[in-house]
Amino acid sequence: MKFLNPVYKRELKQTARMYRTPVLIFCYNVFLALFGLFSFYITFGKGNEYYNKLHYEDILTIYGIITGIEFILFLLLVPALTAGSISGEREKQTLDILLTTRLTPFQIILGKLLSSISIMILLAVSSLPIIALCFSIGGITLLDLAKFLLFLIITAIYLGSISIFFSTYCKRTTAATVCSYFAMLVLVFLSLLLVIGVGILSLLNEEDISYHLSFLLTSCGKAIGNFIYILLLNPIISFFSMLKDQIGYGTQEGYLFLMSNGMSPFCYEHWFFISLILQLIVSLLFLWLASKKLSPLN
Amino acid sequence: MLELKNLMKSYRKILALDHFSMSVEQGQLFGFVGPNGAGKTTTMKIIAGLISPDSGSMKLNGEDALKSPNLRKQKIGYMPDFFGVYDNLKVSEYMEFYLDIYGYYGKAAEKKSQELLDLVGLSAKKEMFVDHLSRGMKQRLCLARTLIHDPELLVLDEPASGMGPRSRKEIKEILRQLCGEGKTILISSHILNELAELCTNIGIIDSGILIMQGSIEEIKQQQKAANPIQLQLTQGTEEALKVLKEHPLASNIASKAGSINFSFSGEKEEEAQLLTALIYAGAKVSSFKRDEGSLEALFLRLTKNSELEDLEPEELESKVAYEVLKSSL
Ligand SMILES: Nc1ncnc2c1ncn2[C@@H]1O[C@H](COP(=O)(O)OP(=O)(O)OP(=O)(O)O)[C@@H](O)[C@H]1O
Ligand SMILES: [Mg+2]
Repeated sequence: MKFLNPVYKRELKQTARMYRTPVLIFCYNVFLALFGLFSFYITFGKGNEYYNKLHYEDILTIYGIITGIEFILFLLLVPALTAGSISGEREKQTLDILLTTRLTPFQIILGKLLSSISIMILLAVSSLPIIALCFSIGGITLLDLAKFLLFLIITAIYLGSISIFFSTYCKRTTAATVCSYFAMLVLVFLSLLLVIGVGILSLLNEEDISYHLSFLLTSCGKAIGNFIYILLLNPIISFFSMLKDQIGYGTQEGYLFLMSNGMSPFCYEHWFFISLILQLIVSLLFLWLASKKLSPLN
Repeated sequence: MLELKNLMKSYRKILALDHFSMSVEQGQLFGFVGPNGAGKTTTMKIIAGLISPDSGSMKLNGEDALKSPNLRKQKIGYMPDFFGVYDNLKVSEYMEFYLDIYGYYGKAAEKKSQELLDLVGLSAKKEMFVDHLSRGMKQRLCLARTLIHDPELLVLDEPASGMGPRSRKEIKEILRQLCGEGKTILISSHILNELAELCTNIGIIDSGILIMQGSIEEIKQQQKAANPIQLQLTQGTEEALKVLKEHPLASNIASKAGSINFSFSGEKEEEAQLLTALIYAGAKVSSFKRDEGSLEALFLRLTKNSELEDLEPEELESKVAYEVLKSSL
């Protein structure tokens, strides 16, 4: 306990006593379980009617759905749990005292980030039994699950750092929350739209757009060129690339990866890990900016 | 110990500190007085390192402190004017948190926490949640927290505001004790009288300018000098008036049936000379004394000032006390 960040320790203590925490864990798991059962019902209910057989791909679909839902829950929860971390201290008027103690601004920010990541890890771990539904029939390895957990943690760090950044820059928690969600939307949707938009715009300059509509995306890929790498920062694409690696989700992820024909094969092959490393680097950058801002003497 | 020189600080258009210089010596209990908006909090935040001045210098024990946050964090204990406490945390855990920051764990932390809580008289409330404490208790708790790293200089921004008279008295006792143990204390307030009975030295600030600083005796002397002298005569009023009108240090002379009131800016020695001159001129003096600085007298004079009419009584008192000093300079 000696070497743990004091801010982190204090936050843990407070979180554990908050009424909110058990309610959050309960709702989170009920939500996941409902979706899991629902996807089971859809896939197996259908299977039993016609073939009375299980299909290997069905398991994979269920895995895709459950992890997808969990991932979306992460996207929605991390900003909510983190955006108030610094602005909340400012509103409670505890920040000034903290800044005059021996703690450096970076330590304060790190403690805050660790505590919200811990809650997210707690949620992820508590949901393991539900994800393990997919194990019951086979097809998913333990390694896949570990990879998914790693992915969730890095997503929490990534979105958490961005939210903390806004939490130090905005005076009020409400503003910080709005900015964090907005940033999340930009990362998830705008980056995708931008890349596709660039592709389509450059296609418009060519004369024969009307024909080969089915190859639109393929030719898009050529036009997009290096813009595709923007998507390395998009957590949803990372998620799809994980699914691609794990269950070879051929066609669905294809929409994206069709555009990748201008991309280096190495990047295509290791998209998942490259994007995670890049996202971690961006997180560090945001944390650094946040601690710069928090330091009173800048 | 602490030396501020030519500090300038402005918030957009408002000039909060204007070539502000002040020095606090080792072991002083230094009272920092000024009306609302004078720049006390701004100065203290600069000292604590929460804001940086636009220009100027700050020295701690002769070392330049503006550029070294670590020196400040180590030597200074700062208690803000407004502060909050954490939810869902007990008093003992609140102390533990800050002790943890300074590397106290386990038994050592417990011992230190007990010691400090004893000092501020909160040991009975150890198991209470901090957000359930009364305001005065929170302030004491914050004072205990300020002492954790054994700072040489305590910077306390209105630590007794909002406290009842009993708590005020206790806080004063604690501060005297700390000062006796060798700590230097800088404490702000907008009530001069309150600081006057506590502090060894006083600095007065208005509109970002240090108007004066000095030991409490010097200040009292000057405050006294501002008060009028009352002269009672049984005979020879005319002669007395003549002497007074010719005296360079006397002014605002008013006479009424055997008594004369006048302002006199001289010291004791000059007072004695004046009295001799009066008697020599033939006035039969039955009483010659300085008004003992009744603030009420000034209060009445000042309430003509429309700006003061809508002040709270407490603020008015401070304004009055402050005007007394100002007029004495
Ligand atoms: N954050 C800020 N933004 C703009 N102006 C400010 C800010 N803080 C202080 N000021 C202005 O600076 C001046 C000095 O304020 P300061 O808080 O230092 O006064 P003070 O002496 O502590 O007053 P009080 O007795 O009310 O606590 C005031 O005119 C105030 O309006
Ligand atoms: Mg103030």
